[in-house]
Amino acid sequence: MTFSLWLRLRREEGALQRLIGVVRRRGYDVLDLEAHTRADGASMDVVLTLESERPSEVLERHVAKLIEVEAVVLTKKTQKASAR
Amino acid sequence: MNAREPERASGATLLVRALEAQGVDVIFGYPGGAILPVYDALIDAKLRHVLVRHEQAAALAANGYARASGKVGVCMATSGPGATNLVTGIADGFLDSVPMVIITGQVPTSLMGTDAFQEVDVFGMTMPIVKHSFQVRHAADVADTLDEAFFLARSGRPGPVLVDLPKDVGQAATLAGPRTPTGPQMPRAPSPIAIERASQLIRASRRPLLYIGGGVRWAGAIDELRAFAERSGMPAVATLMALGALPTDHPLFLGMLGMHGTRAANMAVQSCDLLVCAGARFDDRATGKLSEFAPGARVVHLDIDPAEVGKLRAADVRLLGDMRASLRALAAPLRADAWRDQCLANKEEHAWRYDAPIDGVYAPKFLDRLSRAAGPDAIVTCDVGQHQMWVAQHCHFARPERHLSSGGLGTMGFGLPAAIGASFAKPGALVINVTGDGSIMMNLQELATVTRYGLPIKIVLFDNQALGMVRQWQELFADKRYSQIDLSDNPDFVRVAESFGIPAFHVSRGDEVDGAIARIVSEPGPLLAHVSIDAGANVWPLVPPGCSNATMLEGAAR
Repeated sequence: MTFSLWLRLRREEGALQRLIGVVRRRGYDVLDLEAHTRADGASMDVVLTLESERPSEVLERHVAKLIEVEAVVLTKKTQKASAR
Repeated sequence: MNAREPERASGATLLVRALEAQGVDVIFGYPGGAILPVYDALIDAKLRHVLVRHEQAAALAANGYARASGKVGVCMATSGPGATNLVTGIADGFLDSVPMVIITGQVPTSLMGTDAFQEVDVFGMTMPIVKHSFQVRHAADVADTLDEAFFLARSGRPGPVLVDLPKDVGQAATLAGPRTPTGPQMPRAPSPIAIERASQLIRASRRPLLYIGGGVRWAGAIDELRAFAERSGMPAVATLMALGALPTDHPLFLGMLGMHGTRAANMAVQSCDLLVCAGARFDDRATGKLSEFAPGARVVHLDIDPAEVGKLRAADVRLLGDMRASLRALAAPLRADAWRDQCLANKEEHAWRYDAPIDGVYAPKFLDRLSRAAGPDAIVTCDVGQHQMWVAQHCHFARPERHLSSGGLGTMGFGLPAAIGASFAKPGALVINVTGDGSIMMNLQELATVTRYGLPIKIVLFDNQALGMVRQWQELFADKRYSQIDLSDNPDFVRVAESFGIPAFHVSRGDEVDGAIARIVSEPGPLLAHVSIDAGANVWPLVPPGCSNATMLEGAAR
C-alpha cells in the first residue's frame, strides 16, 4: 500500500532526521519526500509518500507523537504498490 | 544582591540550579573533559552526585531510581565514550517507559562536526531511544531546556530525554533570573462515548479478563485498577512490568501471562471473550503467536499513548487519556460467576509446587521463601535470564515499583545498578538484587559503589556455571547444540565480593537455605549470597517462541 503524509514540523535541530528515523524504524519505505521551510522560518511543511504492508494509521499516530510535529494529515491512500 | 534580580552565572551553574529547582536530590554520573564545567558547578550544589564506576551503571541506576521512586531519574556523563556508555541504560528506559533526564557533555561548539577528541554525535545516535533530545547552543537556553526535558520526561507516556551540553555553553556566562518550573501535563479526560461503548462490552461479556501492563503504574492508576478489579470481580493477568499492580496473592490475580506465564493466566487469555487491556502493549513475550492470542476476545484498550492502541492488535474500543478516570468510569457489574470460578479453579489446580525431591538448591523455592521472609515492602531488582523469570514467577509483589526488572530491552547487568538507584530512592528499604553468574559480571565494578556509599543491598547470585537461558533454548530448540554458554571458569564470587569489602557466603545445599535467607533479610549492610544451583535447571512452563500461548511446555524441576 502507498500513502502520503502531510506534516507541519517545527524547525528544530534534528527534527527532519527524527521524523525520517521513525518512518524507517516502524517499517515504512520512503518513495518521495518534499520539504519546504515556511515564510516564518520557524516551521516547515513536509510531504512524504510512503509504502508499506503496515497500516498507515499506525505510522500516523507514531509521527504525531514527535515533539516537533505540529500537525499531520494522512492523504492519498492506494492499495496498489507503486512501480519502483 | 536581591535574590529576585538577574545575576550572571555560567551555563553549567544554571543547569545545576535547574536540576535543584526540579527537586532532584540525587544524580548518578561519571566526570570527564567535556562535562567538567558541570562537575565544577556541582561542588556548590545541594543535590547529591553518586559516582559510579562505569557510565552504563549511571544510566541504569538513574533508571532504577526512577522505577522505585516514580520521580525522574537523572544521570550524567562526558562526551564520546562517556555518552556511548550511557546508551544501553537509555534504551532500557525507553522500552520500559521510564522517566529519565540524561545530561551529556559535548565538545565545544566550534569543534563540533570536526571529529574532535571524544566527539560523538550522541544527539543523533540516541534519537531512536529517547522520547526527545536537545542540543543546547546558548547558555541562556540551558535552564529552559532542562525544564522542558523534565516536562517531557514525565508527561503522557514517560520516557528518557537527553540534553547534550557543549563545553563552551557550560562555561559561558549569562544573565539569569529566578524561575518557576512547570509540572507535568495532565492527561486528557477519556471520551464519554468510548466509556459507554466499553461499558456495554463489559456488561455483555461472559468471560472478561483484565490484562494489566506497566502503563498502569506510570499512570498512577494502581488504586483505580484495584478498585475496578474488585468492583467487577474480573479475573486478571499481568505482564512482567505490571507484577504487583494487583498483589501477587490477590484472589483475582491469575499470574503473569506469556512465554513463562502461569498456566491459569495463559488459559484464561486463550478462553476469554473480552480483554480489558490496561496499559499493556501486546508485546511478543506476552502474546506468543499474535494471530492466536486471545482468539475469541474483543478488546477494550486503555492507554495514554495513542500509538500503542491498534499497533499490534485491533481494539474494539480505544480508551485514551487519563487511565484513572477511565477505570473509575467503567461499568463493573458482571454476569461472569461461572467464568471466574473456572479461572480460579485453574489457578488452584496449577499452583506452583515446591515439593520436588531435590538434593541441592531449588531456585524457585528459594525465591518463594526469600520473598515471604523479606516482606511486602522489599524491593527486588533482577538481571536477565532464568533467574529473572523465576523472580517474576515465584516472588510476591505488593506494588509494581518494588519489582525492578528490565522488560523491554532485557538488559543483563541491569540489576545491581538498579538496586543502587533504588537504595537512594528508598533509603532504609530492604533492596535485594537477584542475579545470575552471567549478569553479575556485566556490571560487577559497581560492587565498589555499593561499598563506597555503604548501601545495604543484598545480592543473591544464582550460579549455574552457564548462560542458563541461552542453554535452555539451545537444549530445547537447537537440538542440544550448545554454543558459547559455558561459564564454568567463573571467579570465586565470595572472594570477589570480599575484595570489595562486601561480606559474602556460599550456599549449595538445601539444608543451608533457611540460614541463608535469615542472614539476607536480617543482616545490616551489604551482603552477597553465592547460591549454586543445578546446571541443567530450566524455567517452566515455557511457550516456545512463535507458538500460541496455548502451547505450554513443562519439564522436571531440578
